[in-house]
Amino acid sequence: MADAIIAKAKSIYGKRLTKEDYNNLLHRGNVSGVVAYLKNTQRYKSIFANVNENQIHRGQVEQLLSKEVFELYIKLCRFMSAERNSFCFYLIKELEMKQIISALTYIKADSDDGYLIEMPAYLMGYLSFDLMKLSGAKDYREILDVLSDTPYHKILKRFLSGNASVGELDECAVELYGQYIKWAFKAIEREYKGAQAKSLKEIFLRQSDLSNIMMCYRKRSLFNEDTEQIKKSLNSYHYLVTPAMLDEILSQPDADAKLLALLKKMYFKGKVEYDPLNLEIGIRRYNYGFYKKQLSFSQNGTMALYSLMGLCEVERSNLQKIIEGARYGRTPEETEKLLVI
Amino acid sequence: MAIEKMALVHIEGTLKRVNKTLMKCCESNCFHIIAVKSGAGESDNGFRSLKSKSPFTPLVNRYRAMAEGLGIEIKRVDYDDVNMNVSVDFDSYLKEIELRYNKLSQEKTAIEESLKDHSTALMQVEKLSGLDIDFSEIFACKYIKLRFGRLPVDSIPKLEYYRDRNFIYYHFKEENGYAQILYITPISDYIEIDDIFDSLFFERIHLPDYFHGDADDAKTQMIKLVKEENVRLDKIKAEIDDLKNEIEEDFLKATIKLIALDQSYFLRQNVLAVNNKFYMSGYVPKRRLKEFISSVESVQDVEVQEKPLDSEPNSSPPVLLRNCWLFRPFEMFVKMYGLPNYKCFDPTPYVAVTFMLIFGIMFGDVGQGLLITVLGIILDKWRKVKLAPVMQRIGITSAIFGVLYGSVFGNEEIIEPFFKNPFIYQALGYSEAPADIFQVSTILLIVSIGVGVILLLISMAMNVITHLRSPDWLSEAVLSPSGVVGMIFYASVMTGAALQLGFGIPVFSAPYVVCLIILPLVLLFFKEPIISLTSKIFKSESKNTNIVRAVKTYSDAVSKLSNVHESEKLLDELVNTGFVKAQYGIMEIDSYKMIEETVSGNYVFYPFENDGKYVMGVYIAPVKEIASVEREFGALGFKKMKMPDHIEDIRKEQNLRLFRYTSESKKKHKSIGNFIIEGIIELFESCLTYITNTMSFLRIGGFILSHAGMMLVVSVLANNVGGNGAIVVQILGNLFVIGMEGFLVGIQVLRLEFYEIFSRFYKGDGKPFSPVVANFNTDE
Repeated sequence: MADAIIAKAKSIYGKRLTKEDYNNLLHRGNVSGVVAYLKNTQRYKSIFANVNENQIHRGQVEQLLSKEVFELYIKLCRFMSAERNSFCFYLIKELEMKQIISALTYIKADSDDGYLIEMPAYLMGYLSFDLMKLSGAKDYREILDVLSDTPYHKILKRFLSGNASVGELDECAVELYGQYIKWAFKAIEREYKGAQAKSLKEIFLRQSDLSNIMMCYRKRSLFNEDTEQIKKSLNSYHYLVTPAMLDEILSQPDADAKLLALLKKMYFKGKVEYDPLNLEIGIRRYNYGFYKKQLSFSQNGTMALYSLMGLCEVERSNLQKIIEGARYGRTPEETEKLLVI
Repeated sequence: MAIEKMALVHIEGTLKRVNKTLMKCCESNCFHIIAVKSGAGESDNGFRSLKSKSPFTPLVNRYRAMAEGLGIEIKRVDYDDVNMNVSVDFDSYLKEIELRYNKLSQEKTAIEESLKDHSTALMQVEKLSGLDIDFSEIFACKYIKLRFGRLPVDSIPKLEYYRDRNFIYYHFKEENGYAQILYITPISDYIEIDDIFDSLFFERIHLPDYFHGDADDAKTQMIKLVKEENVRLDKIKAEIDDLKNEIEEDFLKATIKLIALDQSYFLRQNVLAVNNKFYMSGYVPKRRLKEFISSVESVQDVEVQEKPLDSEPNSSPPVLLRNCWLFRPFEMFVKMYGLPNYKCFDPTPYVAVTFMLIFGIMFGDVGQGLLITVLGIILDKWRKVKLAPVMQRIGITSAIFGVLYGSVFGNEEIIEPFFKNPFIYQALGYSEAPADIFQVSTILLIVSIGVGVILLLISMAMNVITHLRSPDWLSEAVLSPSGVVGMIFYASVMTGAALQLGFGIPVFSAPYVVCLIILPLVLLFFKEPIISLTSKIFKSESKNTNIVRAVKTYSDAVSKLSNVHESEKLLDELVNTGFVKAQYGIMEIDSYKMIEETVSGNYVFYPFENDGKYVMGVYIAPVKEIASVEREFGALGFKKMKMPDHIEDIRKEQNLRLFRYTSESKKKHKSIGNFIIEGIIELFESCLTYITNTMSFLRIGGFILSHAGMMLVVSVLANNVGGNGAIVVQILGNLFVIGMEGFLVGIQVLRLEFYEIFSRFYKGDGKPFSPVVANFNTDE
């Protein structure tokens, strides 16, 4: 089964957009042009087959791209053996968490139907709560009601009792992420052993490290927040970058430079190009390289699935940047800098 | 039955006749123009290549567009009776047609556009099928807004969220991830409602205001409208067809003449011009020379001269194969491998004979052979398939060998096979007639090898003959595995083996082995040193004979002015510097005396004629330094001239020597160890090639047996089925064998030709004869 899923994942990755495709897409002047081009690519022709590129909205293109990644994931999950099925739903868990955070953010911003418009309706039926009810929730209390039967309720209840601040929402997101990793580790331990379990756990720990460094850098260099405040936004899980290391760096006056040096030393290692003002791109580049390597060499079907989804997500994100660039009149050169190719 | 003899012709005339001359060349269909080097601008001697832009090109484009519009296929036709010659004539003729065509075309376009709109509307109204509201009433509503369109299916559940808003919607059918939607909202709220639907990615369909009745009525109206427009469109198309039929013949002639005129401009880039004259060179088949000269010289002020073939040093004659009807179809295989060099011979007859022979041996069956011939005739007449004439011929040889094998559609009882003849089977050592061909299989395989040995020896002999007069005759004709030495070795080994093993005659005596087997191998091993040694001898001879003799002959008149020995010494130094270039010209005698002190670098100047005031001669310098030498000679007032033919000989000789020098110098620096290792490997490879080439011919015998085997299977199957079924099995079986085995045998024979035979003697490095023609291809 692992061989089948690895072969399938590699075959799907083989249909990815090439540099030439990206170059052509970058020079399409508008969203219609981008969609018209994607309609003729092997990977995207089926999802855009019935759309009218002259009328399609940017938001709809982005939703279709996300839907395509999700449907691909569901299709591949069917190839996983039953005894290793629960971890494979990691993406569903991740999406549940993201939907909750998104709904909370819109409520905080007093946007009535903001989340409803963005809400990916294709997830309905896959999540452990009613997405339509979540979309219709007008305040935190209604959100708690919708999620009352889920494991998220316990965490959310702690933060949403009153009128939670933005900072509290950030802390809530960190807690939810911690709960997600905990769930993932339990599933991995139940279904995998030895090196396979270790390598799968490492993926989450690496992401946790990268997220912590980025959070520290952003909060310190851009918002100049104090160390205690920053620490509340950090994940409790870590791999190479320990909380003690971060504590020490944050206590120094040139913490932002030291954080970049740490990121370079521990992860980028001179192989990843990055812009300190746009650290997410650098991290996506690192992830792209990591997933590519895993997909090429790993013999673990779950790892292949995880890596492929990571690579698809990078491609989706690239297309999103191109569409945004076309919509907001960025030059191809400016947009190209935001891509991970 | 050889390579068509070519004549080199130089055409010159007044510049204003160049187009007409090129047209004549195109019409002759036998003039292969020599291309002028691209990028050559005006040279020092005032020659320039003509590259003027054709004034006919825009007209050609218009004619092509008109032909496309009218559906006229552009093909070659005679246009002698077309009197138009200049752009204006062609333009006014086309304008007349355009006037008539454009009117019809505009009308056609208008109908097509309207048809497109109405077809789209029809598609839209079809999507609203089931809507029983009168469109006229909808369009007449003043206080409500109605919107038709489609919404992504994912957005449909989200509409529930807005249920308290002021709109109602109808949901028609769903397809391809979209739902057809109609929503109605009061005019006071339509902006807000439109925004909501927009945010949910609603794609509005704008309905034409000419819709009446409900959706089904509107659909009926649209179908009727589309039908009417189709009728009108057909009528206009018929009128355009009438116009096409009326003008097609004259229009096509005019177009072809125009294209020819335009193409002649394209060919002008291969024409050189100086002052008011043009010059071009090319090759014409000798047998059509007279006809060509009279055709081209019919143009006023144009002269055609035949020149010796070697007077164009930078160009070699093109190759046009000319064979009798029997061998001509096999030219295809020779062209596939590569045309022969003009100075070599055409291997087509050899290929034809061997191909027919080997195919006949391998696929011998009277019935099947004749069927292949008939199939070849049908394919030739019906589809003009290139392989069809080959099929006709190989089918006949197959039938001939079929008679020998006594096989008619696999049946061996109608004709008696050769091996059942008492004279033959007794000669082969059998006391009684073998029951079938499988009993003589060993003899068949031995005969196959015999055929292979003979063909390989003939191929080697051809290699010897081909290279005997070439500069590298020693390495190619004598000391190569396919040369005299290789032939002696191969023939001795094969003859000895045949006599000793086949007939028990002891042949491999010590003198036989030493002289005919070991000595050739030793010669092959020491090929390089022998060539090097002999070339040194020939080189010095050459120096002492050809060049010096030529220089001395032509410099007798100026013996007082030139020092031949000194020049010769310099020449030797020059030879060691690599390739050289030579330039003939004239200079004043005072300048000539100053050469030594003015011109620096490596060069040799040969003075050939001296009239007391001027010296005519040639300077030779390495390619690397030719520019500086040229500049310094130029400063001395040296004027370049075309080199006379007799001096060309010297230059050619010089090139030959340089070629030898460079090829030797590449091989010069080789250690003894390298030489021994390379020698052993090459010798081993040569011996291995002899074996593999010979064994390769085993497939001849193999396919005879395979053919017999397959027909035996067909026969057994037919007998098992019995009755009418047996006939069906026989027919299908024979067709299968012809189709599959015939195809396989054809490929195997071609393989033997290309790999075993051609590789021994043939190099396809000739360039094809391509006469200048006007290109009528619309893709150009």
